[in-house]
Amino acid sequence: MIDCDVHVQITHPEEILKFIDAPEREWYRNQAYLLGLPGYPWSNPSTWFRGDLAVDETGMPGGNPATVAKEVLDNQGADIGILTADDALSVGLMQNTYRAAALARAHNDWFREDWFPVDDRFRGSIVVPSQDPVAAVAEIERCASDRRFVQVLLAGGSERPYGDPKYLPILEAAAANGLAVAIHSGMEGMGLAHQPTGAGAPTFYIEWHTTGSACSIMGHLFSLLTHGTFRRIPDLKVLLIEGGVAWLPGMLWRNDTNWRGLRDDTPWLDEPPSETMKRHIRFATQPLEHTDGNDELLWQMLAAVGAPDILCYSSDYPHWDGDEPKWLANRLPEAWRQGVMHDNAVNFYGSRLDLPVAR
Amino acid sequence: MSEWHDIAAEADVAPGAPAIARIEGREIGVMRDPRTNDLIAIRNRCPHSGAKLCLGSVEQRIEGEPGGHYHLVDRTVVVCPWHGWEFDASSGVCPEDENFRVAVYPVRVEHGRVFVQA
Repeated sequence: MIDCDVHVQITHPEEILKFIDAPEREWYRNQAYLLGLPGYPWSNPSTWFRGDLAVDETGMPGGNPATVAKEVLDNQGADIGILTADDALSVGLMQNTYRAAALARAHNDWFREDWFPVDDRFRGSIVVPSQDPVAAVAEIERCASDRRFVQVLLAGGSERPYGDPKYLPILEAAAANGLAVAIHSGMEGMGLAHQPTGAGAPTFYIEWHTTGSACSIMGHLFSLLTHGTFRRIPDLKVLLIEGGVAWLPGMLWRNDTNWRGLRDDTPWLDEPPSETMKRHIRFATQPLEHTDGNDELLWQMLAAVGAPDILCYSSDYPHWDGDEPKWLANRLPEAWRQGVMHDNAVNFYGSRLDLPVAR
Repeated sequence: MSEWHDIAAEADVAPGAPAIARIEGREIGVMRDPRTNDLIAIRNRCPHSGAKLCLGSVEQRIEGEPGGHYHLVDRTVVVCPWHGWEFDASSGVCPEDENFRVAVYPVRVEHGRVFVQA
């Protein structure tokens, strides 16, 4: 099993600050929210985390590499755990571009120095200051030679959808270095990002969790497709994380319908965008929607747009809404299990998942 | 066996002013391509959702490349007045979805009259 979304928590900020040059460290210590990252306007009313995980003296899980290795790799049986950031997902939304670049570097060094060596089943995501694509490209190129990094991580919340040409250098650099691009929902309405929905800012966490995290992923999906991004970068692979999948057939059908009638505006789209999606984009499964007894309908709908090949398992460890692998696998049609739980991620990430690690 | 049918006076068919005839239960229109001045005989029913296709427009096809590059190509399309779907004026095929095809017919002009083979 390959887990495509393991969230590392910053429980001890000094662990990251040691990778930041001394003259800058105090600035991060003095920020109102963690290391100057934008804080959440909508907070979970109880806890962000599963209640059965080991916590350290800060009361948080997910911050110790050995513990994460035990809980995700040993206990849940992951052959590979791909580490994604948590709060640092929003580094590309910090108002201060320069501090963002330095913090992104430190976070990536923290993965490389403190996490990867603990277990060779760990792989990682490169966080980048996406508000400054030049700096983001430099960071990708700095990290890419370490093959334990498998993807560039971008936040669902953004200044513009990622098909915008502003972001093209980031996507090109990822593809040129054999890295996937992962877009993880979240951080909508934070820092430089726009509000989560076209209707404006939601009031409650449940609204954000339902609409915000899905809408941003929809926005990026159709932006990337509509700009013809995959014609410009044929090797680009994108994983969309935690935006849900039950909406996917309906939105793809809606978009393909629009494409037939509106093609003069985007005449470079030489096939139904849903077909392009099947070749270049994968969806992390968590949180797989509950269907009130209609799972068969869900599988049928998803199969119509490329499932099971477009789905890759993710747990979202250590969050409260995670999908435990055995539960998810048992829920899937039997014929889908091997692909969704393992093979699709292997095909998607390619040789960077190979063991032993080639550094 | 299809036959040639006298549809209209050629002078009466202009861009935006098609001639419509009913032939053996089918409504067929003759449209003028404003770019080439050619005549197009096409069934007056969009295969998508049934609009009267000849109330649409005859346009030069636009193609493009990612990055905002547009160019006109040597291809004429009939554009449906309802949803904007395009149909190749020569083949009747919707380039975006070849499952959708509208019938097109041979057309010729003799002595100032437009004839359609249908």
